[in-house]
Amino acid sequence: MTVKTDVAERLRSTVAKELKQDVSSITTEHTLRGDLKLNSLDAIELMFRIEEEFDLSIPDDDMQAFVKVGDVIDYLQRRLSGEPGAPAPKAAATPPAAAPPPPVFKTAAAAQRVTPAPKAAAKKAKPKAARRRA
Amino acid sequence: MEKRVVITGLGVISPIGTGVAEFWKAALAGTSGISAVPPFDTLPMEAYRSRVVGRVRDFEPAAHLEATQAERLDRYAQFGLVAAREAIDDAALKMDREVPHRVGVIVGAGMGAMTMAERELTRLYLELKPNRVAPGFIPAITMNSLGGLIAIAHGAKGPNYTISTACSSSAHAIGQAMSSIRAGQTDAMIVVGADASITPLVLAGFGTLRALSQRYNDEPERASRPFDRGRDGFVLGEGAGALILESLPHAKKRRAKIYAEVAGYAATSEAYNMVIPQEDGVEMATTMAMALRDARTAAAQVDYVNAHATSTVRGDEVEIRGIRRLLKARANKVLISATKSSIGHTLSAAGCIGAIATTMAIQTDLVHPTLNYEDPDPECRLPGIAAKPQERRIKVALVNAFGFGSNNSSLVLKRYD
Repeated sequence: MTVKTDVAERLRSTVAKELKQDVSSITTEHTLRGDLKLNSLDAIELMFRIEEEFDLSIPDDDMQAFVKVGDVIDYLQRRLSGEPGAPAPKAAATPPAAAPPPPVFKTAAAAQRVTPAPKAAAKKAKPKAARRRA
Repeated sequence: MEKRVVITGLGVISPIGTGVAEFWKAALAGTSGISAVPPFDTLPMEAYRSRVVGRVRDFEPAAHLEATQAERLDRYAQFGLVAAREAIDDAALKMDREVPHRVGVIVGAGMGAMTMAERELTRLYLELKPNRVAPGFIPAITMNSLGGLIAIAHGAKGPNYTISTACSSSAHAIGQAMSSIRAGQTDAMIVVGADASITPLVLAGFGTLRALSQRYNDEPERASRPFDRGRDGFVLGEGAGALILESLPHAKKRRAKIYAEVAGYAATSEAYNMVIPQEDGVEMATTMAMALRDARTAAAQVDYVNAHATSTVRGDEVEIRGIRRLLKARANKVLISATKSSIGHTLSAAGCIGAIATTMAIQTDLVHPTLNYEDPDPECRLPGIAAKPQERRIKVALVNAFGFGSNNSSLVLKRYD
């Protein structure tokens, strides 16, 4: 529980730092693109900051699934609780990508003509992730 | 019939002030914006040949831009965006009342996002992390980045392009904007010149080229001294200038205040040398003559020349030679001033800032002084150059901007009444 709270707090303050806002103004329900108004470049900058703060690397395919601040927190908790050396992202990210909640983040990016061909990218997601970890 | 083109808005970021009111007051007062270069991290500053710069010291990005833009945009783009907004506000140009596709943007950018380019390159080699290069790097270093940002900020959907002709970039931008409006392609154009290249690499590069002043490192305010015998090179400056140009009927229709008319323009190449003008001044004289012809104005009518005059030994004397060659006896009657004496050479912003100084001279009947003109070089001496402000009702003025790459440009601005 403490670990969970800790990750949430660290993430919220990382987001707040990136957006130059007060941490109290960032909630887990906020959507990155809509509520926090991150454009595609902002999102990448934010990922840089998160990767540094949590000392891990977030594959692009995983990042595409982030819609709300809470999604990022859940993702980080899964990644951080994984046994060391285990292919955490594969276990963590693959099922939700196939599960009901659609990758809104990716769709929104496609709408802004930033990410080409969302469908093709979604199809390729699995093998790509597998390759990366091979 | 070709439409007449007028200036209806101005904006500036300069080493002597942000905003046209502050800039003009300081220019008339003879304020110098030249100071010692601040240290570049761990680089040995004493090894720099020139350690004086025309730096914009009072610019707080966060005061003008939203937080992410204040942090991520290159300094040149920040200058350009802020100057453009001032000009648009000044012109009271309301985009929701315009046909968006008939309002365009032309930017003069010589060095572009140099600050960011150097920072990212340095970081890449130091940290060895290709995946940490700023994602905004490529959209920033493409030379048209500022044009895009301005269009997005204001919804200007007309022609949008960038002219890159080194130090004459933004004079060409004004000229091409005039041509676009004259031709009926656009109703109004947002014209911006911006540069922020006081960087470790650029200052070093201009230094090894022997283009910069080296003799006044301990007295920065004396370093930029166009037409003076003691001049020894230009002072690297930074800043931005913005003008709103529109067709006279369009300006009248929306009851805009009209500052001046852009009556003529010429662009030429000396086809001679990448960094040195042809000594006899013939090419510069030809360029000014062509601009006057375009304005259907005789050389004898010129009242004021806002000279390119960067304070280099060769450049200043060649320009005066060109002015004498063109204006003949009139050369002894015209007023001449060098805006770079107070702000240094703002590179691709220089054309716009020179045009703004000229517009303000037309507006106020005052020509700003040429600082440090203490011991006139006989090669450059003309009665109309002075270290103090001069009063004159100006009907016709020339604005000169010459650039590396052997290119010249001249604009003719006229009083509108």
